[in-house]
Amino acid sequence: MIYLDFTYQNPSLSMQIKVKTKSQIVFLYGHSGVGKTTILKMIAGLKQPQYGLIDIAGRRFFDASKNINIAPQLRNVGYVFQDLRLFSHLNVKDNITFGALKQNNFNKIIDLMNIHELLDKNIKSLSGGESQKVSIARALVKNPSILLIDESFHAIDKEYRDQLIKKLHHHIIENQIVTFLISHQLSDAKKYSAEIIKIKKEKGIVVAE
Amino acid sequence: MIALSDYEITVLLLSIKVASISSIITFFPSFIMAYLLATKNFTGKSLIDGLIHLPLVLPPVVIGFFLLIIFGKNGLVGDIFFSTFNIRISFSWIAAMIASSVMGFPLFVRSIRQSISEIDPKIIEAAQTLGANKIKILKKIIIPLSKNGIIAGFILSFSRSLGEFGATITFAGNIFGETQTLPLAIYSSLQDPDANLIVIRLVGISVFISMAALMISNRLNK
Amino acid sequence: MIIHKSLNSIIFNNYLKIIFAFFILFSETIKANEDIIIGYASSLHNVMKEIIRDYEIQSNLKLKVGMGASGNIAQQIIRDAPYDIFISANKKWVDYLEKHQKIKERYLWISNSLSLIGSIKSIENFTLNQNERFCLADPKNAPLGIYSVEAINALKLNIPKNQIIFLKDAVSVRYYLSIKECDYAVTYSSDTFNFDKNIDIQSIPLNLYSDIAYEIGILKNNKQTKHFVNYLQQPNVLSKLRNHGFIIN
Repeated sequence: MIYLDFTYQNPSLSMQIKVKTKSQIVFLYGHSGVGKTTILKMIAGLKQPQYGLIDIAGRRFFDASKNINIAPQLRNVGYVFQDLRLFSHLNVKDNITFGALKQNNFNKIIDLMNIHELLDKNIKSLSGGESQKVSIARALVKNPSILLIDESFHAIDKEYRDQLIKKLHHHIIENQIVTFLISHQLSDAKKYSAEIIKIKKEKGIVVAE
Repeated sequence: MIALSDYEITVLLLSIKVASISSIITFFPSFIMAYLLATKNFTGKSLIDGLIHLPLVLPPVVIGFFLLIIFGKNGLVGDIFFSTFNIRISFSWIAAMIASSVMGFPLFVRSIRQSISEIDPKIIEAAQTLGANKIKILKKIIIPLSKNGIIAGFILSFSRSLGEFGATITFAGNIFGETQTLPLAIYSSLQDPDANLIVIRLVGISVFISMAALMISNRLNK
Repeated sequence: MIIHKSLNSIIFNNYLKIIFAFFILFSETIKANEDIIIGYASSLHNVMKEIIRDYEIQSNLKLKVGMGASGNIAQQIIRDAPYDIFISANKKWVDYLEKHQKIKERYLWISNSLSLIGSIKSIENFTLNQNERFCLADPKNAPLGIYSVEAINALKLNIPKNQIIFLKDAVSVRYYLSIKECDYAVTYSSDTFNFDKNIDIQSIPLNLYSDIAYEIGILKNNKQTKHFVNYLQQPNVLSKLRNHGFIIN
């Protein structure tokens, strides 16, 4: 169960979001710059709404009326950023294991992403597609209960991309990971029976439809 | 290679001892201060920022005078040390080290602060979402990414200590084997009409060490 | 902008005055070349301030002064510091300058004596507590240091080496005594004349150390320097010196 009901305001953005769904996978789509990434940041705890609540899979992350605001590091979220944000001072393996606990699924994720040969490489030497794969692996190794993916497939070859999404979908379902995805590929959403939510601006206020 | 005399060796070893211990001790408060200044906003920040920079702009003799006032037998801190531990700080190598530390502190803070503020806050957000708490972020992100600033800070404060004169002679005196570091030894030898050769040799040693410190820092920064 | 404008107009309307002011400043520095520059031993500091003030009022001349350990000033003179008169606290540094052909004329002037500062009950059984300090001027550059070491040795004072602190000159000894960084010290008697009454002072017999004679060396021989050196020998100046604890020969 996903329950978002919050108001967020800053000088350049005014947002009033209401989403209630039982779907495990949520697709967010809309014009670029409309505020989709801001919603993911709210879920991750990197930004705070002024009012309302955020409740996902039975966990109350934020509730303004009760002064609840769980710190980002305690939300067990895996976040694949649009700009990836890999740690350039660490190699690929150290990036992937950064958030991993002792009990983790490192080997499984490396198999899933098929990045065995990248492990000892320097972050700066990776191609765009490789970087995206490493970034996805880093978010998954820590066994997150929520996965946030922000347009993170575009640099991966088309041919390999569909195959990867299929495998990822399998992993998400198997591990019951609630997933939010920002993507332009609506066809994928339909294929994997995800909840599609359009984010748009109405009378200057960003809303979910 | 010209062999060093016992006098030169004593002066040299003392200088290196004072410079290295003072830079190591200064590192911890410098890092904390640099971290606070680079990442936090608090009331009185600009006042603290100004106070930290005082040793850079005040004449070193004035700093030495303040240190005497604070750590001297009649001073605020010195009195406590004298009455409880029966220790006198002024005119000891500890005093020379304190003088060096105070003079090196702003240089240390500046260079660490610079490199901490260059760290992209987005990277820190990423680490947070990966479950890292403040200590882990400090250990795994901030310290490694400010490594160059830390090294530069070490070299700067070490070199500042090797060149420190005014605060040291005021607060620690010019005592051979205890507080007579290279610049003080050069100063003393300048008073002696027969010591021209010693002056030249001491100046040579001083130039050599400073060059070596710079070269090591360039190496480490690569 | 308004501030800028008004500042500009002030500068524009007054530029002649400003140039004139610069001219006066400049001519001040030209005139300064005619002044005399005196370097003297720091033990003379207090009394010289008075003497120079009186002389300036009387003669309408401006004097420039440099003060420090005699050795220090002598070294500066060797390196061409523009002193016209050098007053040393011993003969040695005047000899040294004479050897380097810097001295045109020299005169013996006044003498000084030494005093022992600190509560010393008996010189024979004198011991320092572990944390006490005995301050002396550094014999390497201050004549006071040389005399003090002679006196300490003649008195057979038993002072552990690591409890002796050598300070730059007479002024430093005085300063560190005043902030209680030194428990004992040897310094010029002339320096103790307005000491705190609680401080114990005893004079050290004159026969225990070399004569502390102040010598005047003239480095540039001209009317002004001659005039000032003559002034230094006048009875009213000498009696002022006596009041400050110096010995008039």
